[in-house]
Amino acid sequence: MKKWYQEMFVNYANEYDKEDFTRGTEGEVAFIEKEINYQKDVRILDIGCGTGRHAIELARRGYSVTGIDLSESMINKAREKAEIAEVEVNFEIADARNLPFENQFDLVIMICEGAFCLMETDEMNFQILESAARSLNKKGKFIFTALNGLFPLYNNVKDFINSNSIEKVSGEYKFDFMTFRDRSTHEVLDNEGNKRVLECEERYYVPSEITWLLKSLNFNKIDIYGCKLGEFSRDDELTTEDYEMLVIAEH
Amino acid sequence: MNQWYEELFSNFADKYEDESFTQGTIGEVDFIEKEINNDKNCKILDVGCGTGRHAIELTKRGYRVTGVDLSENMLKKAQENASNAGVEIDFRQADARNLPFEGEFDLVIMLCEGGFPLMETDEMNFQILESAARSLDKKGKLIFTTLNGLFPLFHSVKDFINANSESQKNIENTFDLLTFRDKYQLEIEGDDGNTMNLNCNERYYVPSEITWLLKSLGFNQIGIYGCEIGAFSRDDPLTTESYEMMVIAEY
Repeated sequence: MKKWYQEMFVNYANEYDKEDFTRGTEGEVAFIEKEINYQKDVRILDIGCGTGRHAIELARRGYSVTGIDLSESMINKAREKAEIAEVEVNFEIADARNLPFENQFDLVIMICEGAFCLMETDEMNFQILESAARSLNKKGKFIFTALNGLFPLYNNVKDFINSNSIEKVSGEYKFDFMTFRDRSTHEVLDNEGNKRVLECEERYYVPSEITWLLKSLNFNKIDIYGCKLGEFSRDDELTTEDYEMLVIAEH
Repeated sequence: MNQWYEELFSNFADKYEDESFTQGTIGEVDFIEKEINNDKNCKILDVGCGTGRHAIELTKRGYRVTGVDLSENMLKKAQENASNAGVEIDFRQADARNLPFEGEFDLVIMLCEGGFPLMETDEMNFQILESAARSLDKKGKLIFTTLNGLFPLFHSVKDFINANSESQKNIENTFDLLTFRDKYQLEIEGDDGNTMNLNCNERYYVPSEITWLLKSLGFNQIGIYGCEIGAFSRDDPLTTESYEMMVIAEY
């Protein structure tokens, strides 16, 4: 049986690009560029690239980018968009839990919950971090965003999603203190305008967990910040009001 | 330089036994006995046994117990308590991060923060779990309590401690959301009548972290519960109101 994250992205590529949370691309890429000191020879891997918004923007600015996603439909859309933008990006279908790369990227990005946090077990989520770490060369940098475990303890995720997205959370929203997993029923409009109902499950992580997981993958310098759409910044302290956190890790 | 927990327990054996949180021994041992089906053949290791209150009560009931603690001073008191109770116990000075046991215990207990969340790094705390796991027979059971990371997100640890302990004064308390470490100054009267001023640092874990750490040590069955002093129970669900959590793990 297909998992919800497979179902959702089969037919959601056009609508996805209209979501509020996908509007911050330029600001986010500006931050990423600064993090790599505008070095145009940096080779970048975008994990869970979706419709390629970061990958294409980075390619437009002169970087060589590989974008991978589990969803064929999202990759097709990404290729279409790259062609329209007249940039070259190497888009491939691949499973983030098991990527075919070794030490070959200077920067790995994984933005906007493209993969990590969505898996049905914590072990699979960890496999994604492992895969990302393996793809990165030892001097490289890993930048990703993840769901902030502090947020659902103080805020109603259902209200938050419903006021910020075309997709709607309906029914009971349930955050489990024991697993830090959030189960919810999402209503999404697909590309044909049909309403589809999906049972979703997402894992929220507290910062200390992320630090532990990354340390066990031999990252030594790990910084965690707040995460405002379109304005990533190292000056943004993580609080309980951040829905996501921004993580920057180096070996 | 001595760590705060070394300094504290070098001068806090008599007074420790007067603390309200050390009064639940009988009820806690009732629970432990039930967990091992009252099987008197069970070999028990008490990690961070302190003045030996659980070790002695278990020995009184017919179990063979080994108690280890980092503090000579606490062990001296434990020996005294044992001889007053007319029981013999193998008390040893040992560092919980590196115990000299291998697969030889049917039950390992670690109660009332005798070791685990007190260490100055997360790696050291993990070494304690590793050590406990290594000491345990593959069919054995690990039962421990630890500080619940959900509690300080909704409560002032300072107010909680100051309301529940007559001898301790907890000041300048800060809970760090990024590390889940609680740092505070402790003013506490030692056995010698002098006031000690200690800079303390304790790690609070959320349940999902404990599950992850135990899984990475090969434990498969992990139960996490609330933790009422003197009334441990598998019917007590962990909530944000629980200061500690009780963990039961099996391979």
